[in-house]
Amino acid sequence: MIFAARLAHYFYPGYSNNHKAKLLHSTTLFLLVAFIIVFQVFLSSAPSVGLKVLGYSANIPPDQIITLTNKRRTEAGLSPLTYNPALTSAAKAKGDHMLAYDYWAHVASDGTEPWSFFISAGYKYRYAGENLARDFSDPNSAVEAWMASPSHRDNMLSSKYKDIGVAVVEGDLAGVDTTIIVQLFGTQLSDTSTPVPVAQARPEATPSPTLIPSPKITLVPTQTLLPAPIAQTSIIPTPQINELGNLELSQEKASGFQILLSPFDTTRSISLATIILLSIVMIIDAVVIARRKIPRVGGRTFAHLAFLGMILALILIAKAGQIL
Amino acid sequence: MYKELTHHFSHYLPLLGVILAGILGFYLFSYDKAFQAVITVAVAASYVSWGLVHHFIHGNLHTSLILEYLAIAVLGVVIVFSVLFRA
Repeated sequence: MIFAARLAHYFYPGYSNNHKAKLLHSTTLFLLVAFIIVFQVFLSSAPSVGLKVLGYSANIPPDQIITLTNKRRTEAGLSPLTYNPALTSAAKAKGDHMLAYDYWAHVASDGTEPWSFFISAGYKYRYAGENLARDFSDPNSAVEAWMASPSHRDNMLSSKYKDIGVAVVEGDLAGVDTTIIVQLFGTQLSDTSTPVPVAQARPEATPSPTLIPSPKITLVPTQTLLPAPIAQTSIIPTPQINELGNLELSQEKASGFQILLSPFDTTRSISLATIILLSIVMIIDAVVIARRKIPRVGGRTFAHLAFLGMILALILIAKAGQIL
Repeated sequence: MYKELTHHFSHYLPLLGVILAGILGFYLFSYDKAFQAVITVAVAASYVSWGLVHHFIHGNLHTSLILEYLAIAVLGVVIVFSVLFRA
């Protein structure tokens, strides 16, 4: 009985809560804000206190990235890119370099540019380009995210490129175990054929400084957003070499204690639950107050619901993963 | 709520417009998280402003109301940020 009264106090307007569900009081709402912030700080600080966390355990076969990229090119009226082992080696070297030197950028903090990996892998280029992605749960999400970004889409749908190499590397980045996808595009210096006509008009990519005199390079603009630490305790899948010579994540899980908890999904679930609960309590509150005809100074429920509805939509639109 | 909405529907149109524009912008700029964050803050600020103007026009603008709109706006922004920068 006491428990029911407590519940009613928080979720139902009545005498004890001044005819407004306690959950809708400004003080309770600010407490909710504080709780969410503390929870996020906890998730973010997990790596610094020694807890091994995993960003995203994802099974992303590189060949599927290539297939999806070529599918998009075909749809755009372009010729498909050819898998190139040297570019794949360069992509893997770039991914390993990012993990080894702990950076999430096109150019490393020591000034190492993406193009140096092309040369090191023995790929002498006329044109070169690079797309990066991290923390995507599947290949299609990553490709979709690249296609949504004009600069990345330009790379994927450029008629200048003939070859492609993709690597998926996994390791510790800023204290968080992360899955990085490196997608490299290129046309060899020896290839003198003219670019395939583009089906639709697109802006020309901007050339960047080159490592060798003649080639033109396409560099995707670097975003300044830093990756947020993602807390998840799990087992890191073991990278394996597939038939294309690429890194592929194994589905095998090492034995031992593990908590399969995706920080993004957990945060999203808690957020959705909070918004839905608030909306329901708000509707009940408005109906009860209207029926009882209780005069009350309060905000407009419809306005609150419209705003919360927008927040709900934004949460649903937000996707895991970052591109660069 | 229904009576208020039907009687002053024109008051709610700008708010609904801003909210719909916010959702659309958030969707279209899904590749730019910084811009998505700016959109969220802008819509939240518009929502609070709308509340202040609306209640001022109705002559019942009280501190508790300002806090109510502010609390919901801050909660919304914090929730979206937590999802956005966790992704």
